[in-house]
Amino acid sequence: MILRPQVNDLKIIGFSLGKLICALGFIMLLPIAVGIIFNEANPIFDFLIGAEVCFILGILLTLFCRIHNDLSWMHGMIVVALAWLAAALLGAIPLFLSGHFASFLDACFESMSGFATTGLTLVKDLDHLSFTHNFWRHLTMFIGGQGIVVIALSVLMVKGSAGAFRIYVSEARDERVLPNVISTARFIWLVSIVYLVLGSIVLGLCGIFEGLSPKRAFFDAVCIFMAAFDTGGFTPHSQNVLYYHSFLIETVTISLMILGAINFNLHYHIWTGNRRELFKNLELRTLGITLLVTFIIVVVDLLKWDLYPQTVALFRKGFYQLISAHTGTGYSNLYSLQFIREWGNLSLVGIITAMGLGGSICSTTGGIKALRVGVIFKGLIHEVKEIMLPESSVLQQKIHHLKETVLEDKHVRVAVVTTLLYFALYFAGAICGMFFGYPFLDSLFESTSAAANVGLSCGITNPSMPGLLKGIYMLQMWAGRLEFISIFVLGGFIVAAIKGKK
Amino acid sequence: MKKGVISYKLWVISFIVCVFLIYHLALINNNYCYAQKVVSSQELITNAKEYDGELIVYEGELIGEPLKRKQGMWMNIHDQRAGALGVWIPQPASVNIHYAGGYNIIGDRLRIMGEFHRACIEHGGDLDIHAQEINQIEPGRIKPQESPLYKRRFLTHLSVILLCLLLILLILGKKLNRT
Repeated sequence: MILRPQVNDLKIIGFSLGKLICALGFIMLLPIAVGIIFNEANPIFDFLIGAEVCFILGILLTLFCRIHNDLSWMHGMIVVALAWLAAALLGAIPLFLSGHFASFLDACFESMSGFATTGLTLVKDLDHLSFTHNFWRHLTMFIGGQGIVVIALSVLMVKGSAGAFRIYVSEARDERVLPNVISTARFIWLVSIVYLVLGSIVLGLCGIFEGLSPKRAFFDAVCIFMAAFDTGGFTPHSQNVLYYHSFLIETVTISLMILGAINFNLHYHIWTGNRRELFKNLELRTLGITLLVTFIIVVVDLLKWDLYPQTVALFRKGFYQLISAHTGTGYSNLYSLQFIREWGNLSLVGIITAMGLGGSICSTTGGIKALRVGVIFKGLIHEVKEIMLPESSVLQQKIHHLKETVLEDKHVRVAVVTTLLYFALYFAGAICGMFFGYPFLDSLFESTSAAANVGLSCGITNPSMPGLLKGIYMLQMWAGRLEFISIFVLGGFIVAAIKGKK
Repeated sequence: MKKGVISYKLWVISFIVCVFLIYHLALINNNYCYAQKVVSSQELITNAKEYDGELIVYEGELIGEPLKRKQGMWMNIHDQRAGALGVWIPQPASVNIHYAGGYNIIGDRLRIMGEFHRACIEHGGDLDIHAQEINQIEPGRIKPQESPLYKRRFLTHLSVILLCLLLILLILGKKLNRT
C-alpha cells in the first residue's frame, strides 16, 4: 500500500528547496564581480535578473512552506533531485539572456551540463560570449562538482543535523570525510579552494608562457581549473583545449583531471600524511588497471590505422582523450568530427568504455566508478575461489578502501545493481539516438558521454539536434550525476501523490 | 655599325620578352593562388586525409588572442562552420592584426594560404594550417554595446517584488519570534 504524501511533507521539501534556491541566488551574484572587472554592463543585468528570480522564488517557497521539522531520507532525496532541476532551470536564465542560445531549452541544457559537470555544450558563437557569462558556465561546474547541497551546507547551515546528512548523501556522496557532515562539506570546499588558488596560478603562468596576455591568461586559468578539477569540460573557447596549442597546458590539465577524479577521502588521507593509502587503495588500483587496459585498446587501434606516427602525437591525442574520458572531464584537443571520421571503431569502444567506467566515488566524476568495478571484480574472484575450495572451508574476502573491510554480499549486490542501472541508462540513450537516425556507435558515444557526465562529443550535440534528444540527454545528465536513487524516490513520491491512499 | 644596332635591338626585344614572360608567370602563379577555392573548416576536418599536405586557402575571423611563441605565432581562425582552425605563422612580423574577435569585438577577417596538416608532426599531432601568405579581407571592429533598456525595466519590477517579499519575511519573522 502506498500512502499519499501529506501537506507537511510538501512543506518540508519546499522549505529546504527554497533555502537551496536562495543559495543559488547568492552564487549568481559572483559573476557580477567579473562583469565589473571586464566592464561588461549588459551581462551584469542578466545576472541581477537571474539572482532576483532565485531570491523571489526561494523566499516564496520558504514563506509558504515554513516548517521546522527535520528532513527524512525521502525528503532529503526529493529535495536534492528537485534542487538540481531548479538549478538547471534558474541557472539558465542569465545564459538565455546573453542571446547566445537558440532557445531556453538550449540554455537549460547548458546549465544542466554545467551543474552535472558534463561539458556538452549548445552555446552559439562561444568565442564572442562575454567574460561574465563564460565565468558563470565554469562556475556552475565548480558548484555542481562539489555539490549544490555541499555549498548550501557549508555556507547556510551552522550545525549538522540528521537532515543535513541525509541531503548530503542524497547528492551521490555516501562517505563522510570527517565525523560531522558540515565539517565534511567545509573540508571539501577547503580542499577545492586551495587547489583552485594553486591550480589557477600554475595555469595562469603557463598561459603567459604560451603567449597570452596576463589578464586573459588568469581568466582562462580560473575557468579551466574549475572545469578540469571538477571534471567538467567547458573551456572559454570553441576549440576547447586545442585553442592553446600547448603541450604544457595539456599536461597541467591532465594532472588536474586526475586530482579531480580521486576520492575526497583519499585527498584527506594524503593531506594528513597517510601516503601508503595511495598504493593500497582498491579504488585507485582499479582506476589504474582500467586506465591501462583502455589505453592499450586505444593505442593498438590508433597504431593500426597509423593516425599519429609520432610518439608525442600519439600521447597527446590518444592519452589525452582517454584520461579526459576516464576522469569524466571531456576536455579534448581534437575536433568532434575527428572521432568519427578518423578514429577506428576499436579506439572509440576504448573511449566509450573509459567514459562509462568513470573515476572515484566521492569525487566529481560520473559513471559507474572504480570502486564498484573493483568490488564486482573482487566478488567474482571470491565466487570462483569458493567453488574451487572444499565445501567445508570458510573463505573471507577483504578489500582495502581507506580501511580494511570484509567484502559482503550486499556490497557486491549494490555495486552490481548500480552498474546495471548505468548500463541501462547508456543503452537507453543510445537507442533514443538511433531513433533519431544516428548510427549505433555515435549514439552510444554521445549517450555514454551525457549519462556518465563526461562531455566528449562525436558531433551529435549541437544546437540543431532534435529538441527531444536534448531533453533525453538532460535527463541522462541529471540521473547520472545523482546516481539514480534520488530520482527514483522522486518518481515514487509523484506516483504516491497520484495513486496513494490517504 | 649595323651589327651594333642589331645586337642592341636584340637586347631590347629579349628584355621585353623576359619582362612579358615574368609578368605572365607571376600572373599565372597569382591566379593559381587566388583562383583556388576557399575550403571550409567542415570540409577540412571531414576530409582531413584527402587534404593532408595540400596547399589550401582558408578564410575566417580571427578569434581570441594570437599566441606568440619563440619560433612563430598561433592564430585561431573561425569560419563559422565546423569550428576554428589553428594557423601557425612562422613569421609573425609580416601579419598586421587590428582586432581579435571576442565579446563585442568582431575580429579581422583573414584569408590564409598555407599547407594543411591532418596531424602536424611539428605540433604534436594537431590539425593545423602552416600559413605561407596571409591577407586581410576585412578589418575587425568593435560592436556598439546594446542598450539593455528592457532588462533594466524587468530588473526594476523584480526588485520591487523582492523588496515586498523581504518586508513580508521581516514582519512574519518578528511575529513568529513573539509567538
